[in-house]
Amino acid sequence: MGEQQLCTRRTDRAVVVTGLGVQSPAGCEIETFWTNLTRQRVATKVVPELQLGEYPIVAGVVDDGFRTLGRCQQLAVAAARSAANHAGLDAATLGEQAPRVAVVMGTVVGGRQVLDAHIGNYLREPVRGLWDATDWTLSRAESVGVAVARELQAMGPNYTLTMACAAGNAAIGLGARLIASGEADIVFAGGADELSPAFLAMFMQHGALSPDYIRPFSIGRRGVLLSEGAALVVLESERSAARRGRSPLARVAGYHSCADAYDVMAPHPEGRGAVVSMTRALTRAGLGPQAVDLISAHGTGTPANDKSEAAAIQQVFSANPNVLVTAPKAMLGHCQGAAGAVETVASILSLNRGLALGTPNNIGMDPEARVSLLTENRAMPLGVVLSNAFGFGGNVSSLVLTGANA
Amino acid sequence: MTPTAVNGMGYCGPHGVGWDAFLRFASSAPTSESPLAMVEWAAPFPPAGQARELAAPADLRGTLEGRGLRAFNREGKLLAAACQGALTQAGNSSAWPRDEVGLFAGSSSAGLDDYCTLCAEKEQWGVKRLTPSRGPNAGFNAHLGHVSKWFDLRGVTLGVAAGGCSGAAALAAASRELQLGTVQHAVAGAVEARAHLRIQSCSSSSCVVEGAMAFSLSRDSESPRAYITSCGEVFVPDANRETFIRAATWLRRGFERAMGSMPSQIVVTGLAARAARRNWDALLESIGPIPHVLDVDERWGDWLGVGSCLGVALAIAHVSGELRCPGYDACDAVGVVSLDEQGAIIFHLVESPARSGKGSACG
Repeated sequence: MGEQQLCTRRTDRAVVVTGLGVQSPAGCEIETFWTNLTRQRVATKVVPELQLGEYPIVAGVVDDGFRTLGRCQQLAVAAARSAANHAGLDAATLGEQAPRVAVVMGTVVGGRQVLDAHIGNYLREPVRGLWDATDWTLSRAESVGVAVARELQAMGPNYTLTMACAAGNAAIGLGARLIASGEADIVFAGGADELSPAFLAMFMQHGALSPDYIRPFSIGRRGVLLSEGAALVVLESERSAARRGRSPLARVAGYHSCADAYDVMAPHPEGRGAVVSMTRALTRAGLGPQAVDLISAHGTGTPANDKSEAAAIQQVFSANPNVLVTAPKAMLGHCQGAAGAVETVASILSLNRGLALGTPNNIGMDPEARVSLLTENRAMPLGVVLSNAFGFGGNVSSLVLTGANA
Repeated sequence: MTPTAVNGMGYCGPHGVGWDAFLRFASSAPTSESPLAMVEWAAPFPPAGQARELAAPADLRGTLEGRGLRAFNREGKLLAAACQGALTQAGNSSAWPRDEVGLFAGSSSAGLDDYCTLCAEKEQWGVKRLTPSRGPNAGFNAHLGHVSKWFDLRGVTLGVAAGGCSGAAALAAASRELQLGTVQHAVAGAVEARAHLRIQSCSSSSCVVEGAMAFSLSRDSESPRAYITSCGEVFVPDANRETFIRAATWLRRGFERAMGSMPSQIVVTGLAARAARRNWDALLESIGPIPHVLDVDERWGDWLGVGSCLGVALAIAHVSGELRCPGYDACDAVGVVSLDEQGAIIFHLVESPARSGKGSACG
């Protein structure tokens, strides 16, 4: 280990993004992912093996041909490899800096999907030995962060955040905190989740699944479509990136996560937590609402979320009422704990390439969820993007991303 | 690093609820000799292996007054009981602006039994007859939602899993946010509830314990019980001796930066089981001779993510003079090292207010 400070926490270090990795229904390689998003391709489809006897389950599935133990962890590791390659970080470089390389992941289900089949089998034919050590390991949330750290041989702080669907967004925010506070020089941060029949059943029971499409902020929206995937970003201090000769893709300028403290199942009607998370993330970035060019909304297409989020956006952006809003879940489905990270990757590509993504499937704006939703792509210079992610339990999280030269 | 003031602590575990219960727990005989009753498991799952199990009080209605408790899952109730103790000890916590109070909770297995039961209900009854609250409670974060709503905590909220170090990671995260000024106060801790899969994965010689521990923390406090003056984290991604030496070097330097040398008294959590499984003894050998090591897991059973919080609580009780750790001398600084079989190591340095007054750690 070098002579770097081991526990000193500073607060003045700029945080830049130098690499991206994604495994998503829209693509498992950055250029494919971006191309499909810019073509407005809806990546959700009927998944026969997930039928629960009600109506066809439509979901977004990463089409890689395997559904084995530890799928969530595999998705995370695959995205981490892509992110390391994208950032130009090889094994030797990572090994030299290992104690200063941290991993922060977020997840909703982790590897618990493996338990569904075991329990079904047991109930049909009770035998002893229902579980084994692998089940125990995979069912624990930290297995996601551990898998990534072992793949990268990272020795810095290792967290797996359990903040429902806000987890991927919050993981990137916390990763930025680790850089800013001087506890790490490189952080692999993001989220990963796989489809869980048990959680699909829960969403179905609560009437939260759409039968066809996600229609964020639209009239006639009927709910969300779950999907799966993983995404990681490589965060570095500006000095670390400069030392390696890497040009930043974007900056993480601000972040805040907090709790609605309202209801475990439903968002606060006026988006109380979302107002605080967006406002404080902007404050942390030293920016006002007028500076924001685009909001990447949580936008699940459920009646309650979109109404609450729209109310929060209207309150925070009263001085910038025409701020553009996009909702990538219309194309990607809801990747659960990975959603915030996958959508952050999309936001960074938008910043980098000067293209705000449109939101398909809209059949008319809901007058109760009025925001300036982009329904078609728009080429425009983007300086600041705010990305939201919310989750069951009232967790809310917001990231402020700025262009590399901001 | 600016020291984090610890204002209060709350406990919910096999010896009851509250600080007195914690002191009884900490003064008790090793769990292997405990007279506490074991727990029976009900259908639909098979008997839960041979491991011994200690449960927290089943009914917390006398501790938690208010509507809505029925919707809580087990983790939510345990953590709420511990948080209530911590906030009560802090004194004027009800006056804290709610946007400025953060919640940081560690857990490795939260919602696990609810998830398994959700799967069973789906198989047996179909989707339409699922218990409505089962799904939300089957997530890793349901306890965060319940507790933040119960106490109206609307500041920075973080749920974190780091195996046996989950509670220590929550404390480290809370300290970071307090230092960065994103919250003025925080409740941080950990919870693990009984879960069939957890019991089944343990050997017959194990004693699995459920419970919760919470601390109320502030950036500043007039009369704190103790300070957490330094903390840091490292991960050991493989079992190579060289990697352990690197980790040991990191750990030793962290303490030396904080207080000039290794603390003479160290509380270790997660040591006994982990040492057998992943050669953690190599790590401790690399650190060098440590006069006093108190192994929480060996003495009080496997608390999973809560064990690391118990280590910090023992250190606080020791430096504040409320409790003398077994075999320890009176002192005003104790190091806490939390280990996990999957590779995480987190340390905290706990100091009495008198010692911390001379400034410390990494600042």
